[in-house]
Amino acid sequence: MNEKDIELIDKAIRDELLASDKVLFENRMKDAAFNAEWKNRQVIQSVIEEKSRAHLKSDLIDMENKVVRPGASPRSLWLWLSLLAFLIIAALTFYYFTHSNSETDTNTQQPARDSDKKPVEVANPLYAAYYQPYPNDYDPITKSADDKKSLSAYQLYEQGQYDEAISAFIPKIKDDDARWYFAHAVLANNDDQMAKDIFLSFSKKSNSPYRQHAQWYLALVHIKNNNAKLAEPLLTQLVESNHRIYVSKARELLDEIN
Amino acid sequence: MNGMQIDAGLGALIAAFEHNKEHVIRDVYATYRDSFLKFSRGICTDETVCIDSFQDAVIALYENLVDNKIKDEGTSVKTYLFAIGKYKILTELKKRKRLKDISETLPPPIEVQSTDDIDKMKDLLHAAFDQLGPQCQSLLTKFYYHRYSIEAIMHDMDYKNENTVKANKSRCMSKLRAIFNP
Repeated sequence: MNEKDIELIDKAIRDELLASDKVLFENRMKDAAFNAEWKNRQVIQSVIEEKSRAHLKSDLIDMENKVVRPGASPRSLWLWLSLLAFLIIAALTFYYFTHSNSETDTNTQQPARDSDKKPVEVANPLYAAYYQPYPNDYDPITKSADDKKSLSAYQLYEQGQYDEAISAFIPKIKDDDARWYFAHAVLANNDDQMAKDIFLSFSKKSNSPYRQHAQWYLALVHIKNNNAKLAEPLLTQLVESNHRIYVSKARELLDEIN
Repeated sequence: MNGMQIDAGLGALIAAFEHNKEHVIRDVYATYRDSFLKFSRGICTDETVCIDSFQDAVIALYENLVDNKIKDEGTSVKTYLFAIGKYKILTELKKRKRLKDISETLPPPIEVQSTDDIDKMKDLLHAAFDQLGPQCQSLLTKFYYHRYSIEAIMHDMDYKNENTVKANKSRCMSKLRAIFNP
């Protein structure tokens, strides 16, 4: 299936076929492979619609449960929530910068250490064995010339330029994806407490696609901080969830802990 | 967008929708929730049915906006939304009554496992979609459900250019197929 065929099918699915496209589409439908792909895509489309509708419904149920209370004005609640979100972001930003500055100050008092590097921590051996940086699926570095002009926050993260990545993520921190990668960048910089707080919030969001990933990384941070007891329930949940990526790793790690 | 603009009519809603699809639904919900509950008291006594129907009505309004099925013909958002909501309540009440009538006259139904191929394929795809990475889920949802353009996805998800969005979309579809049919 070539790119033009895929574009044509996408247009048909999104009901965006122009008159000239319709003629082309009808002609292409005579081809068995195209026809099969069209049927396939329709099923995929209906599954994505069902998923998204359920997601939207669960958002509205959340709103109903948390935000809209009888007698309260929804708009004033939104205002309060926005203010609260702003204060949390401001506090996170302040905490991060004051925290990273104090680490830099400590480094400058140790001339033997390269001032650009973060202090090397002796990681818990279990953590070291199981920790892998979360891959940058969001905006991976490609070989195209255009991508070399300037790196996005995600690409800085992928290159291990964590300080630069953190600075680039902060203005976007209200966005779930940016906050997720921000947490990984601060974890790589050994700011475990901040990473833990963010992973915890993701692990509690029942409809977040990051939920199970967050459970895994939260368990790892607990292990890193020698709190294996706190990791156990998270790993057990991952085993029970049968998650493709984490089920076997979580089972192994539980065995190691016990 | 605030309640005043929403109240202005479907035209204002359509215009606001072009710029910020996903927030519009929350604004509509917050703006009309209380008045819908008052309005619906005459037709349903069970508040959970009213709330559930209102949520479904807001989702239906959203999907009609996405599909460009709503035309600005001077109708207010409230009239349009409440008409859908009322229809949803009546359908739900009819369904419940029918089920009650059936349960009073017939033995409990036996659960039948669907053997339909498309249903099976959909079940597998549901599971495969859950296993996709969050970015892929978000990108595919934005394109195929929220009907964002490639350019809008580029801005919304902070991609470098449209080609990157297209490449990622194609990669996500391949991943979905690989999980679904390893």
